[in-house]
Amino acid sequence: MNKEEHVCEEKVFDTLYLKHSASIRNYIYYKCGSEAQSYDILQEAYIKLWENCKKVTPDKAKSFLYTVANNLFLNQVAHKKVVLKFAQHKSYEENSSQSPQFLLEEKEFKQKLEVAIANLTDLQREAFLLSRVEGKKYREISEILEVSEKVVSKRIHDALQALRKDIDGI
Amino acid sequence: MKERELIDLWLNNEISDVQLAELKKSAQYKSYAKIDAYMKSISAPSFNAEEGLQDLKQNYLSQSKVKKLNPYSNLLKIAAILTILIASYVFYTTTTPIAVDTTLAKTEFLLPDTSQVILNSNSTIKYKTWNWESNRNISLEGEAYFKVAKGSTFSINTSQGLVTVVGTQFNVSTKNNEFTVACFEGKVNVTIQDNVYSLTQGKTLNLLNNEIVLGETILANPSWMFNESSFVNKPLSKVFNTLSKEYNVEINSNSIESDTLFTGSFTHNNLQTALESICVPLGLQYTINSNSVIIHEK
Repeated sequence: MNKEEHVCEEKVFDTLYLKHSASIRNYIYYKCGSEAQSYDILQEAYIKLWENCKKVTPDKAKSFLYTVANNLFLNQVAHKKVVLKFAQHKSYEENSSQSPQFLLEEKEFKQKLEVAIANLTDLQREAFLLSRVEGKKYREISEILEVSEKVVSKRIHDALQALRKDIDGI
Repeated sequence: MKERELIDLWLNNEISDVQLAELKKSAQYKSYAKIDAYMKSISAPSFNAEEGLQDLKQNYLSQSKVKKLNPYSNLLKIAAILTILIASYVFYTTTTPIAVDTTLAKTEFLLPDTSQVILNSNSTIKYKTWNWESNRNISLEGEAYFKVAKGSTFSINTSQGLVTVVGTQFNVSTKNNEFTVACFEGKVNVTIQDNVYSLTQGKTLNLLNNEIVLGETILANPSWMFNESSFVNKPLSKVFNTLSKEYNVEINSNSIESDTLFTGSFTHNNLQTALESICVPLGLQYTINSNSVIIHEK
């Protein structure tokens, strides 16, 4: 993006929206488990960006948005237990046979895993999902969460171990 | 390299084939791989960025503009409440009747339209300031002299009759069951039990014991305004009655003929002078005690 351009220009703003909105929305969704809430926070964050468009340069916009979104989330009351609903888009075993046994096992595993994910701490879950569902690398995750890569690594490892324990009983 | 570091590389898609082959031997990896396979098949609920952007511009951003106007709404609310309070106060004070009454002294004051009222002692006037310009209505008990500014009909309510005028000077008296109206300038209408009497300058109306007498006066103003009481052929009993009230003294006139008619006046400023004015022409004498006066023949 051209450094001469300003966020107050509609074209620039639009691009920022199209590029980052899904990611931000997902991030907040993982934190709160509500589509409606995460969508609202997303929009509010972009409103704040628009209101402050003179003060935020395009290259700082992304971290601004994540920070604002996180703060908006923290300001909201009622921290209920987060139960996430994921959209499933394919059967996850590539070379799966369709035997009833197999399908049943698949279903059981999925349920166990979803419960296990819900039982992670907020910090673990957040880092884990950004890595495994969003496909983000440690570098990007550390920027979003504003912690070091080592911390990101630790949280993900802790998450994996907790999940393995819940599923395998180890 | 520790297994943990290999997993880091794997998680970041930075692992080489050689390293991966080594990692696959670990039981931990197998478990993670299964989890990972599942995680790859899911995603957060769907989201359409283009729609979100449209929605933002149409609904969210316009909302926030409306919100920006709100800082004034608190000021407006305060202003509205103050206005209501002030209006209520004004309404209350102007519609509550003002009562002016005198005991011993006479009182002079102005009505809202600059009409003048001189109120004699022992009299009471009541009126409302609300909408005074178009509704000039007064209740009178006692005696008052009016100098009415030109305007809408000015009316005085007494228990015996209704007086209406338009820009004049006149005197109304309601004492001792006697109702007297004297017009000194302009025209005065007196309504007594559905009968209307018009008085022009110099004309008087006297109502006593249901008997109406129309008369005349040569005075320009009623005498009490000059701190005097005047009488034309009035019985002494009445004269002493007035004197007694004016000076707040008891007057004993039992030893003289109370029916004798008196024409003259006495001052309100000095009891002795007042007594002289009455007694001397009639050949009477008076004795002043601490709180009473005795009238007797010479």
